Amino acid sequence: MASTSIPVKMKHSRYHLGRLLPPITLAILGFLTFVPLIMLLQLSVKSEQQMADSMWLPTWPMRFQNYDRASRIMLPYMINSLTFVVGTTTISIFFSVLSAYALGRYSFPGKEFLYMAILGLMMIPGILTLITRFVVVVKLSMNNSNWGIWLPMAAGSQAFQIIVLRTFFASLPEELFEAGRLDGAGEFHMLGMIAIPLAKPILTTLIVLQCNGVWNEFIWPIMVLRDPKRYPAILGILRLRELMLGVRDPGAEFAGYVIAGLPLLLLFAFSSRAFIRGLTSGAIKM
Amino acid sequence: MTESTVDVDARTVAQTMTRPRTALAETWRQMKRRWYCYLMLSGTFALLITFAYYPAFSAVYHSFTIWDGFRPETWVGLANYREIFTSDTIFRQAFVNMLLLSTWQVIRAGLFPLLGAALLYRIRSERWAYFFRLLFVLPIVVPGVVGIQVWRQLFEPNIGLFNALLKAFGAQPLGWLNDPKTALPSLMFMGFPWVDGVGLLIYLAGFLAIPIEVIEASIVDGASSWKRFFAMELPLIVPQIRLIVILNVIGAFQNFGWQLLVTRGGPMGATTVPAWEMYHQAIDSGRYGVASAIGTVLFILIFTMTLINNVSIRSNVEYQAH
Repeated sequence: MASTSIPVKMKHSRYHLGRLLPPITLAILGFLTFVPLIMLLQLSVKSEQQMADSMWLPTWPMRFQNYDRASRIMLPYMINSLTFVVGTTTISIFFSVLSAYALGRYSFPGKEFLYMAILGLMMIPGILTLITRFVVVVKLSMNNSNWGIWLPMAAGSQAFQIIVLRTFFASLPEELFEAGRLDGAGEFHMLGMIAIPLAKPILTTLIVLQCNGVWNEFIWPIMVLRDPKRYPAILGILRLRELMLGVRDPGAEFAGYVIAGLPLLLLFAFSSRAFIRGLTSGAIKM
Repeated sequence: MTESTVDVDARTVAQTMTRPRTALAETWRQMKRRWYCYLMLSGTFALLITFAYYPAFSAVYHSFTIWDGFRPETWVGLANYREIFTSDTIFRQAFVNMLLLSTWQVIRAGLFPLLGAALLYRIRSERWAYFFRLLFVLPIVVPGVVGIQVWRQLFEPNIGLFNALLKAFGAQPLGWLNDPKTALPSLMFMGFPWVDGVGLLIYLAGFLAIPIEVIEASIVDGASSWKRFFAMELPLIVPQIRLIVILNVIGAFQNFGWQLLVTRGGPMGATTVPAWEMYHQAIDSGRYGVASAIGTVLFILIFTMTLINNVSIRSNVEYQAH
């Protein structure tokens, strides 16, 4: 009897341990993942004296006025970033919708060639064209202007957006458009009235993905924008120290880092599904 | 006889004359009928020609020249490539570093999110699964530059967290990014514990796509959690692993954020990579020809990787079909 009860008991306890192991491991991994963020947040509400006393442990009182100071300095950079995001996304979605619609709904001479020319871009990494793209922008006198950000970055996302949208437009049933054609709707009219409303979820994903990408981009703006006043928020945070005009306030610098990331947190909060769908759709992204 | 051959010749000549003409006319007619398609595509192609096709050709062409980016170039054949590959310069160090960094990137991006996803897949409670998923996904929205700035603080030799911890445990503080010996390992350590949210979501989607009957059958058979993972789940998410590996190789070859913002490739070339050398050669030294050659080499490497990946996917599909 004893010989049978022991294995049963062991199996029972192993079952419990087996159930507890995943959540405990995940909690530890999750905590470690958040350590840098927790550190950033606690540093952002400290005074310089509090940092000198205890850099890596929280102190009281929390100085939320750091955020006041940082947000005042960050505001123009946030506006720069917003300009880049809105301009790039508008231009690139406008052109990729038109192209994807033409390639997805119509047959015309040269269509295969043009589509292959777009698909082939997926095989060209951004690093190959980085330097020569910069030369083109300088030759077109677009450096140090919004156009130097808008147009090249819009061009960079055309291939991915067109491939995704073309597949969707091609999958729409022809009857929808037949009905429109009978009503005498023009081709552009049908794009606006039938195709775009149906593509809303995909467009949301593409827009959210691009907002995230443009907000986070820093290599291209460093190259193109000679005047640091035009920098996006993500580069503005690197200038916080000099912008505070000699008054050392490291807490406000850290607050500035948090502020530069907040718009993306908001974007995520309002569109987490589209956000996640976009980021995990990297299968055909390079 | 001669008459008839002439006749045949004349006929075929006439045919070949008219057939292409009508085909051409037909094409032209269709092009006119679908004029709006070309209008719709014109914006995209204006953008692509200016900022993608032309720069790509320009980069490959100028890789064979000495060029300052703006004045006329001088053709030098393979001299730039010779400098990159044979002379005993910083470039060798850069490619070695890239190899180390990208190998590690593949390991960390392949393994740790997989561990996270496999554990998450074993959480029975829906609410806890949601909580943990959010926990790992949320850090995705932290901008890369912010991440670099924060980790830079953690590495800081005098007041940084890591040296504070080492001192608290009575160990010798390290130079981290300031010491040529520890700079590259420090870059690799960044992001610890490396459970990347995007990778985790891709793996999790793979796990969730496994038919529930397969899992149930193995539980009925009494397979342990470990055995189930290695025997059933792992083989079924090979496509996800492959995707993550290729995306991360391509990303790692092109990444030079830390070098641009913090290390400038130093100290003493310890953290330099080809992508950074490319940027540095062009923007800081005006050697656009050498930079183009580095870009072309990276392009060939990435292109080859992608091709190998595509070919192996195709052969894999064929295998499954049989």
